[in-house]
Amino acid sequence: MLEKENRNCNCGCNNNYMMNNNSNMMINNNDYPNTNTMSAGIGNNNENGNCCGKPGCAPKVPMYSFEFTNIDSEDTCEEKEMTREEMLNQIRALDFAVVELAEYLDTHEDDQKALCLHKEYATQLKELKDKYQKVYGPLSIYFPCNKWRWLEEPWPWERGNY
Amino acid sequence: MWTYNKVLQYPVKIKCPNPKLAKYIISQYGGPDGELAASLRYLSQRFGMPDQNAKAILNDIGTEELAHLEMVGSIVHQLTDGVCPEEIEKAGLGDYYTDHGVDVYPVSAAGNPWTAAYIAAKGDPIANLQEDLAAEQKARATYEKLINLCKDDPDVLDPLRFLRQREIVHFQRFGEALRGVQDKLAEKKFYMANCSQKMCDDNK
Repeated sequence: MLEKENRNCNCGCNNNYMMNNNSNMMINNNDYPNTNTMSAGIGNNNENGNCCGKPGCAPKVPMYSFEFTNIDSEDTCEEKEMTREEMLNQIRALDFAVVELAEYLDTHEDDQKALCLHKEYATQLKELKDKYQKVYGPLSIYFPCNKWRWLEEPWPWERGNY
Repeated sequence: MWTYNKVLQYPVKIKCPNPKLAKYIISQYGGPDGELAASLRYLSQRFGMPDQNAKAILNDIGTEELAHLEMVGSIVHQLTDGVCPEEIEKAGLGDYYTDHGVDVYPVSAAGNPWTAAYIAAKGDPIANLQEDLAAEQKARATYEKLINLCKDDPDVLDPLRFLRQREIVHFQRFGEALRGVQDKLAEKKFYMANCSQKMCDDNK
């Protein structure tokens, strides 16, 4: 069944392996049709599933639908920086996307569409984690700090934590 | 949550398979003082620790123990990989081979399968940390016995020596954590209000 689908992303990113113009990729496209299905393009025949890491070509990883208590309702314009909780939820969503795609790729290593999505989300995750940790402290013991901030925050299993 | 790094903490490159050594070393995989027990002991106990340092040390050492588990598994695998059934049986691994082939399965040197009875989580941070200190010493002693049994193969000795040294460092860290917990528990408590009576009243 999979064989019948076109799993190529047609973006040329595999022909041009060292594509440098991907390094600052940002997703600006807010009206991408598949914003609420993480598995978009995986295992279904998604016509819009060209993913090459170019702006707007991968489905945006959805925000968790928690009610954020610390969002100021007047500050909802797109330019607003994400709150800490939003950032962590975005990290969680991107991390899960990478895990899901990696497990899928373990048994479908030639699937170009999945590979491109993995590349895009893994890059976004790396950048977002870096940004988060610079402000709020380490998410793992591998983040270099001038002061040992590993003990500052509550642990994830503790109530009242993110 | 956890992520995996595709590199051993310390290299394991054993040139000569030796199923007899594998039979002994597997105890540090699934035996009473092995790395699986160590990791689950610390990762289970960390939830109940009273201060950040103790939580952090149990979390981080519990994580490192998983890397040690992988190293011990790699040693056992390399010592048994490609060995014929006759050699396996001659090494005393006939029983093991019957049920597991040369897969790496958590058992002790005597063949007892791993059990949660090897670990403790007592609901008492002092008791738990004392247990952890003892566990590190028992693991060090086990590695020393394994080193005595593996004298002829430097490829096996080298990672065992590294693992033994880690037990000593962890013992040191747990000692420091225990001191911190004892100090914290010995602190004079200062109450802004007598809440305990109110809680009793509320619960009536």
